[in-house]
Amino acid sequence: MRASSIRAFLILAALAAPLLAAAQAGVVVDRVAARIENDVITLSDVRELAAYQRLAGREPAADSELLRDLIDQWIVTNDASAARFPAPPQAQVDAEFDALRNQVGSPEKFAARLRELNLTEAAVRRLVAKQMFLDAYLERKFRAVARVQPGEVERYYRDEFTPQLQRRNQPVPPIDDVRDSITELLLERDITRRAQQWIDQARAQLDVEILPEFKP
Amino acid sequence: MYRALATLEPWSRAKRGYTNGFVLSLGMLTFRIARALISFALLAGPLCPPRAAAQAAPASDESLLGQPVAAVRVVEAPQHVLSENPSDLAIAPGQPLDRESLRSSLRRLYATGRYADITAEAFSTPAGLRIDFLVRLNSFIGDVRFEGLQDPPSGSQALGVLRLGLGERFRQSELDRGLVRVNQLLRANGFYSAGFKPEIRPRTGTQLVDITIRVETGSRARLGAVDVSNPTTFHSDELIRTSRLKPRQPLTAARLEKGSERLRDWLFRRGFYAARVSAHPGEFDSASNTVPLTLDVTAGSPVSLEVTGAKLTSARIRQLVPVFQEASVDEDLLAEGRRNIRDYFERRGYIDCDVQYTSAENSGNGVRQIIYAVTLGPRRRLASIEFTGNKYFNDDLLRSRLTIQPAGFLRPAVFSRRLLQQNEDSLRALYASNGFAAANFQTETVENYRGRPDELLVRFHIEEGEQTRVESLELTGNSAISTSDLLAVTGSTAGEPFSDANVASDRDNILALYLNQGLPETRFEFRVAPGSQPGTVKLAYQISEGPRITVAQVIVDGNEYTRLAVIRRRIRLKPGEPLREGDLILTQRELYSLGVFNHVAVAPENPQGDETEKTMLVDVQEGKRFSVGYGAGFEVLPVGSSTNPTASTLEFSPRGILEFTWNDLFGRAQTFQIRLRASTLQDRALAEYSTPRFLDQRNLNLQLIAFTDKTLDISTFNSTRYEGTLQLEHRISTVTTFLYRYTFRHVLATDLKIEPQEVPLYSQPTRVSGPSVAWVRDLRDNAADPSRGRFYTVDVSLFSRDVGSTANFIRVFMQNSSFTPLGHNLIFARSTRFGVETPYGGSLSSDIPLPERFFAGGGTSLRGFGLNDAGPRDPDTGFPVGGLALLTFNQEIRFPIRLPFTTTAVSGAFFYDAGNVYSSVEKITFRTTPPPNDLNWLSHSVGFGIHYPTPVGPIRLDLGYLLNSPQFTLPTSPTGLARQHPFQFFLTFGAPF
Repeated sequence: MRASSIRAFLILAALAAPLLAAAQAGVVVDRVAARIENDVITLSDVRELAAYQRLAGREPAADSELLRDLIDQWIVTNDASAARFPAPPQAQVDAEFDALRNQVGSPEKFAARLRELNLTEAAVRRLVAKQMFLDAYLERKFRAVARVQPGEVERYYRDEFTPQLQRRNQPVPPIDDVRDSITELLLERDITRRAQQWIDQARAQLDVEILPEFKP
Repeated sequence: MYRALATLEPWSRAKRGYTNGFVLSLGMLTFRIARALISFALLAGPLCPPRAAAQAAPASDESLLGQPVAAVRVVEAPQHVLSENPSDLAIAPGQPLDRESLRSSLRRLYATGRYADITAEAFSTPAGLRIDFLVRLNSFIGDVRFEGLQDPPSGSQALGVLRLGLGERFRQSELDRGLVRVNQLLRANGFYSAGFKPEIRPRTGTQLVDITIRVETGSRARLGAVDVSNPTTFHSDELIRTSRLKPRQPLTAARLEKGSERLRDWLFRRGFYAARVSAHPGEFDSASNTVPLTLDVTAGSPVSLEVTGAKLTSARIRQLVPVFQEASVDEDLLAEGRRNIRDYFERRGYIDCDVQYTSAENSGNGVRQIIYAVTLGPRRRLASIEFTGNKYFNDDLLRSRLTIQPAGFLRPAVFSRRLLQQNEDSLRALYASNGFAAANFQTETVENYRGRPDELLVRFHIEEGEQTRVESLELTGNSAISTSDLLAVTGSTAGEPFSDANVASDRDNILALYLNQGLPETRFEFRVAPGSQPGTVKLAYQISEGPRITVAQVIVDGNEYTRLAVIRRRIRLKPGEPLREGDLILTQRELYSLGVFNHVAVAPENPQGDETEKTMLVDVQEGKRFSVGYGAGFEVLPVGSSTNPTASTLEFSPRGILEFTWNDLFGRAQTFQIRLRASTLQDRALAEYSTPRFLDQRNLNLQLIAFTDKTLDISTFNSTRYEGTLQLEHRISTVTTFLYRYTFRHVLATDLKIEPQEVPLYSQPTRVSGPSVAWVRDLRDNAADPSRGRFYTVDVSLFSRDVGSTANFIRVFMQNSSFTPLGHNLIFARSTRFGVETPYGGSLSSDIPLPERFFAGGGTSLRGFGLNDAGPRDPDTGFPVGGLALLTFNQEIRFPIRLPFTTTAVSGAFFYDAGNVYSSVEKITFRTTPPPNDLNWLSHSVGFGIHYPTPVGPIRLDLGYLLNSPQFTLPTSPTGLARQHPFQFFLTFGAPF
């Protein structure tokens, strides 16, 4: 009887051991994903960005890509803060937030979606405001130096604009009708190029370390 | 790059208002959003296919979000709990787990700087979630050193480029980058095959790592073929020869730089003022261990620079025209040269001087000819300066702020338009800083002043305007430092003048006070509002103090011989106390003052972290414990003749010096030194032992000195001295010191010129032994060459037979000196000395040994006498015998002398010396003409001296004339009398008193 009790106990212990071990194991809820200068980007930053992308109805990019984008964001934020660039007016932020909410659906649907994605309204407002802030800063920083080279409008009209419309069987307007729009588009392209170049240079000079688990 | 924000597409389109075509708006959208996405990534737009989400990172369970938190811990892996429920984290027990507080807590922990990596893990417990922040500790840099380097480069150079600072966070990547830089430094110095073995040793019980980098340099490469890229007309061989860079020379960065500089200077002297030369080593040949060298020469056009209409030396032209210093010829530099030349001549009285320049290239020989044409005009001088309209400041104060000055005694006028403008700006700033923001200045130059065509008057017309004063000052936000303490360093208090400069000064003073109280992040803001009365303002200073930083502990490292206790006693930083900037600097200074360290670094561990308790690191580098010094020179001394009591001769003697020094004896920062000096005039051997901080008292230093000295300095006899001194220096304050001494002195007087039967005691060997006390109060601005301040000393010595002295006597000596600026660069310097010796306890005056008496005369006492020639003389031989009392008065007026090449560095002095040595204190008299058999009288000497300053004291040439040179009995003279020679001159190093 005694031997059988002992055997039963051992069997129970063997069965229970994995359960006990599972109960002791912690669940990672957040961690450092990258170090940049004296600051960090956390896993929750990456998760939040992924959630925001889902809110927009898309599959999020890879974590390594998101992390890279967050590092770029850090660089621009740092520069804008050092330049004491003003935050966007609250009314504008509210308007953009409302537009996003309307895009998702009704307020109830939006709230449910936020709950599903573990996002809060405050977090979404913050993200919208931040995007507006950084966008406005890049505009201010690079708009003045953006240039459209001679002949570039014609080249874009000939090589990109016209072929795309033709592929969609749409009529091609005369170049003079769309010259201003194309010029603005090319300026935006130049701003983007300059901004990316600046960010790449800044990244090379900063002390950035991405933890191995987050490297591509 | 093209990442589009399809989510915001409707917004963007509406914003832009594009109506013509999907592609355009989409393309516009693409770039608009791509730019937005550079700032805020979202998802790939239609132009880029969506990517599958790759979950390379470890999964985190977000299902736990919202559950209650029961406990929070910070744990060093695997299970060392560092803290529980820390209060400064956003996540806390009793709150639901949310992403925002998790992220914020992670950031908070990282900001302390203590942790290299942090992971938040959640554990389910019956009470709720336990959140463990698993941390990996950072390492910080401790001692860093190189081994195996061959100088050049030196260890300190290598450490400089390595850039691993004491206490900073250690990163392997930083070390790797630093080693790349060190490798570049080694290659620049010929080490192309250097290898590094860094050894990183964690220091037990700390988060510090000590790094030793073992370098295997290999052989230093040598220069191979030397070539030159030569755009000049000179032969390449000549250029290479000029650089003195040759094959087979060891390659060092200094050699290349020197060679380039040599060549550049050579080209420069030939008119290539824009020449640039750089040395470029080529490909290293490992087989021959050589590196070919190419000298890159960019000569530019040759330039000839000429000044017409006035005489200027080439050295002066180079000084005034900056093309030489800048190695470039451009319009800005030429224009600056024009202004400098004009200013130069204006300062010399050519106030109407005009300078124009032309610059043209000679098409024939390619030389660029620059000609400065100077029209001097008549020479005039500034005779006077006047002020009108000034009420707040008087003329004298305003005048003291000016650099222009009218001519004075032995002082030419100083005037130029540039100086005038600078002075006007200076006065304007003076008024502005005293609340006269609207003060208006106009300067007027009046010619033909006093009817003299060569004289000018400058008149400053001042409209002071209204003065703005502070009506009230409000200080808010301060708690660590009291308002009264802050007001003590604030100048802008109620009633005081208001100006931006004063507010800036207050800001600096207040922040410095906070910095010295361990509050480095204090911020200062101010507001100014109109006051209730016209011409007043209400000032408000808002202080945001920030956290106080305190010292957690102090870690000392780097000492191998020096005892830790010796170092710790000099560390002002104390655990638990605020981290004061002053304590840090004082610690460094006191450790350097031990004299045993080559380098002392004091820095906080983890300086970037925001912890409020900092571990302070003290890293020392000990110097050589043993050193040998040697030197040679010569000395010139006017010495009294040994045959003629009224004559003196100049004695020249070569001199050699040898020194052995042992530092840091017994690890206690004690020093033992042996110094040997030999010349035909004086031989000396000295052994000295000193220990700082005697009996662990910061202001007590002990010295033990033993020396032997043989000197031919007194014409009556030769002196051989054996002396031992035990001295305790007690520093009461920075200006007041007591010296407690015990002295034993055995003096042998040989080659006596005095009849032994008349003065029998003088022929015997003598000994003095006894204690003495000296009080010194030194308020001079510069002990070596004072220009202001005062100096006091009183020295009392007691010599007793009971302790080995041959006679009982007391000596008292006092000196008081003062140095007073009189304005216009004049200094009045004076000194009074009084000394008396008296026997006691059965001893007689004649018992007091000859060498122990007072003597006077020479470059540092009475300058109308030769060295030690003043005072009573032996009636038979006529040689000075010294006296038992001394009273001297020295006065001089010092003034600058403007000489070529020295500007006003040289100064002159008219002096008047009075006084003498007396047989006894009772014989002190002010009579000016003594009888021949009693040389107790008050001498008067006048003279002139020229002084040239050096960093360690002036070199002086003094010419003295004794106004009342006495006659004294000299049986060997035809008349039975002799007279003191009235003229003396001295070449001396050091201040006269």
